[in-house]
Amino acid sequence: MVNKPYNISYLIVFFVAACISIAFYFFSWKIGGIDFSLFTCTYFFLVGSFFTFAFVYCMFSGVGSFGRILAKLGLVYITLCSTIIIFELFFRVIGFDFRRQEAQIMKVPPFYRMPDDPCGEVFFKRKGNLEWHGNVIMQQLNNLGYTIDTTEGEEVSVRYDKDGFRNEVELSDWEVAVAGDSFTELGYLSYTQLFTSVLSRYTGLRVKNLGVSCTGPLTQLCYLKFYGLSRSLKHGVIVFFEGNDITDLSEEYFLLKEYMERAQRPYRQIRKQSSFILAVYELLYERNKIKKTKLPIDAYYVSPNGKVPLTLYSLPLTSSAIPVSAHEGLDVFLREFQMLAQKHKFTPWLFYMPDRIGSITSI
Amino acid sequence: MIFPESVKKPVVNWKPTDLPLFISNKCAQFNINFVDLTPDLIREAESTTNMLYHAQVDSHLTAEGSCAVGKIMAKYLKRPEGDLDNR
Repeated sequence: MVNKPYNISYLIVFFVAACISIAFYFFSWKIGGIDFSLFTCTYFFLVGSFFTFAFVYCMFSGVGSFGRILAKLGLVYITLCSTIIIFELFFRVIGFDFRRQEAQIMKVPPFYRMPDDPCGEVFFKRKGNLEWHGNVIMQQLNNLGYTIDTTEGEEVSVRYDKDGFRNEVELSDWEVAVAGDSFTELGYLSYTQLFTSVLSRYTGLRVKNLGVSCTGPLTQLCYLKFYGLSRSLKHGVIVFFEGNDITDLSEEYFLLKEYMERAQRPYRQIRKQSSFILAVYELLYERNKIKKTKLPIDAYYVSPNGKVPLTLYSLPLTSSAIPVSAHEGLDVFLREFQMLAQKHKFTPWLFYMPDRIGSITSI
Repeated sequence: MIFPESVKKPVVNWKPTDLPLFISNKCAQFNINFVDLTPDLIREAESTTNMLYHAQVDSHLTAEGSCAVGKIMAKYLKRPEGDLDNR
């Protein structure tokens, strides 16, 4: 057989070896996950192919000490590949999450979590009865890998109601409902410090807070519709944040249109990372990560107490920069807001919340 | 505000945009009461030594800023309906 290069057995084994290499390549790339480095996979493929073919060659050539070394290396490589594949299959079958995402999410204060409880057509709210104790802002900074001296925020205890909103005093009826994003939720302040609580104290009206971070006007309107209506409702308020509500609106409107066309809503579920190969890759990558110790300084605000360094995260848009989808989305939002107010006989309000740069550049 | 040299031009040259006016006009079209909190917050920031927004780590309102917003909103919601002359 050795001396007959075109022998059919030789070709079959050659073909099997090629299949093993290609299968390994696809296994590490396709199943490994989209964020698995293509370079790493290609690297695996090339090295794997080389030794697999070398092994096959040596098995059938059977000549010389070099051939025997290559044959052994090939055998080691194939054993290693088989072991990795067995591990990979095992962890995928049992659905193990190498990123331990459920445990990781519990370390994130509710304020910084993406709302994931489906609500309305395509929107999301927080799950109910969440609680947190500690400095929300600094905890999240720590989660993001920062170890810096600056301190912002303070130790607080926050509690969310059964619907996932910041109402520590359960209300059965109210005169004002205020929906908004993170600027209304303010999940790092105590309940009494919320502007909705201040508003209640200054007006004597009962105020329901419907603020959830990572939401835009269409989601907030959905909150008003499902959680904001009451017998005594007089004012329905949406707090519009100039920093990102146009972008959020554009994304929400896109999802809403998709829903109208396909009747399919999005879901936000944890996608388990069960790939052993990717876990090893991430472990090696994480080890090389450097702890961040500085935040960028974009400006200094000259206050009566001295120069305060500022980090500017975004700049508000001009009206000419608003995308077409956001124009359409804004019309839909305002029309539905007006209709909801007419139907339930409350006064609709839109309070325009400036970004930090908008409120201090004039000073 | 003072800008370090490393900061890019769009930040240094940033001026308040026409977005509030644009949203205000849209609201008027649909009979939604519009209130821009910016002028009131600027007045509040001028009259206090406390920061109304967090400076570096976070960009949201401080407890003082939240209190200011609550008071400003109260001013509008306490008024008889439709009285928005002093927006």
